[in-house]
Amino acid sequence: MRFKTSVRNISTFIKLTSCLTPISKTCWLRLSEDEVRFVIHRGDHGTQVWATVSIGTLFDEYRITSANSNIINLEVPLSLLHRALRSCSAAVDAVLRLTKRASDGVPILCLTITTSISTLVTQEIPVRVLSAASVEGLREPEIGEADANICLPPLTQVRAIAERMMKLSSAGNDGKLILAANWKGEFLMRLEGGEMVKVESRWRDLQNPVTEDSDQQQDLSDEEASRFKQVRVDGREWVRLLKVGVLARKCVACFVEGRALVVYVWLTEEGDRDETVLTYYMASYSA
Amino acid sequence: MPSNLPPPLFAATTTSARHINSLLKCCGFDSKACIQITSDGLRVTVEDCNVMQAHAFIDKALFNSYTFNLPSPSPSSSSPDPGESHEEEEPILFAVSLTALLECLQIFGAEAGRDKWGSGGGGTMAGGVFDQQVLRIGGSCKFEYEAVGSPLVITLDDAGVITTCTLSTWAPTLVDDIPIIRDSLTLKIIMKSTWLFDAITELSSTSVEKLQILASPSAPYFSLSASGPLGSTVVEFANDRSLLETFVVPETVQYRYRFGLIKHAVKAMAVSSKVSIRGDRRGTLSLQFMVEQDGGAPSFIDFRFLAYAADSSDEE
Repeated sequence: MRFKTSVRNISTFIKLTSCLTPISKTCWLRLSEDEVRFVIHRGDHGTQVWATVSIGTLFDEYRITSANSNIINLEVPLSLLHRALRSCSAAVDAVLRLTKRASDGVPILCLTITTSISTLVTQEIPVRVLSAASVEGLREPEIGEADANICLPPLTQVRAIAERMMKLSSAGNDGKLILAANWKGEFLMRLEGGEMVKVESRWRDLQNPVTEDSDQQQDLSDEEASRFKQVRVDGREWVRLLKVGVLARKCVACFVEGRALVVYVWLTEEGDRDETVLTYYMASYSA
Repeated sequence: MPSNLPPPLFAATTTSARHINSLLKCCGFDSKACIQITSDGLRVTVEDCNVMQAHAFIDKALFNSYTFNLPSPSPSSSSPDPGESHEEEEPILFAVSLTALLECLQIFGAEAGRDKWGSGGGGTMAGGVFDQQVLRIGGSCKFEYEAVGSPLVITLDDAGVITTCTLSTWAPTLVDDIPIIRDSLTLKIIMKSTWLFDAITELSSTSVEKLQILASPSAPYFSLSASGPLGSTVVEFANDRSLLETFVVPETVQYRYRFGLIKHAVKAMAVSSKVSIRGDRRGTLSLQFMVEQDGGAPSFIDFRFLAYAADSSDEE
């Protein structure tokens, strides 16, 4: 099992890790001959994140071999990886390879950084190699066609309000928030169930992106288009997701009524050669 | 809107939500507040253990529009406040969660914390230490109270984002205002709030339980002292016009108050410009703070404290 690559695009790599760190401590990194995949998957109810990027988006001079059709699965501690990458943000050259720590044989991702004054810095990130069998059952959720799609307003603004709502949430509503959107460009976020207070924030004039070859919007009656399709999510997880707001270029939320919320976060401008999109899946709780 | 609905008892809009929030924050020492609505404005009362009360008066002038429709008269007439009494008018009275009300008013505030104070900063309302998060309520804020027993609905509009807060209301446990007998005033002092703020801050450095106020026509004129297990501290004010703007003390008086209750007024001391300190023969203390807002009439917050009874003295 061998893996060695030069890190071509450190800033995108850092953006990716900083979008993952608020959600979980570790992620599953799947390296193959033609793509790199970052996955956070924690049972049925936590937020899941799936991001697949082409090799060229992050790496250069990429070499990978393994007995498992040249696929390597690793469990990576996100904060260590993120910190290591940040330290090389000013690097001239950075090389990432999978090796074993000399002292105890623990597998590590070793990041070797060459700085402008030709100093070599080595960062070691202990990882766990996952067997093909252990990740076999993990599949990206299939949601099907959404009941409403909407371009979210600036996430920093949504987050500020969501945080206030969470402060107001009492034991009565176990920290859940209602999120909803309709086909009239409206998005709302609501705290209910509290004994003392109900709060609802509403955004208007947002865009409803439509997926190609879909006729979602056409045959809707005006009444149906105005109707909000809602999900009920864990408020704290939602606030964590909104932390990516600083980096997001564009953010689209797809509502599957009463079942799930899927949020696509673009880290790159649309049409960028190295398009990088993260997909967040949140399950809806029943009231 | 169908026109056959009765008009709401109270509806008002304002662009001064920041100022209102800042006034209410001064009374934020308890989680509940009692709101009384009259044709002159909102009177917000917060109290602690029946021995201290804070009244913030939010004048009608702070609202851009203010509609108050008299509720149908009910036989159980509550005692109206002597200051704002109206013969034929019965005020609307209800209790809400003050914690929730404050959070709602600053729902757009967290983000604004990142913006620097823009133009039209708050003058004295900048508030320094207590106002880490500056509010940017650019749009409007609407208050609505439909009918007796309805929730208090606050609608905030911030650049097109509309937030509606529905606060449950309930019938307040009626507590009469702590009276101060105006024709038996034993002390009346007006000074800058910061002097009082500094004095109280100085005294709170030791863990003290009681605050003693002494006022006399001769030296030491006006002194605040506190003693705790670690020692005692005295702050004396000289009778100087530049220090004590007004000083009317016919004879020497001495009252003691629970220090923890006095500290409830610290926020008001910090954001207000002037304080009027009055005491009556029974030792009831009134601290009336004047909070200025640039370009507008000042607002007032009145704190009232009952003194310890003179015979419960534990002095040597």
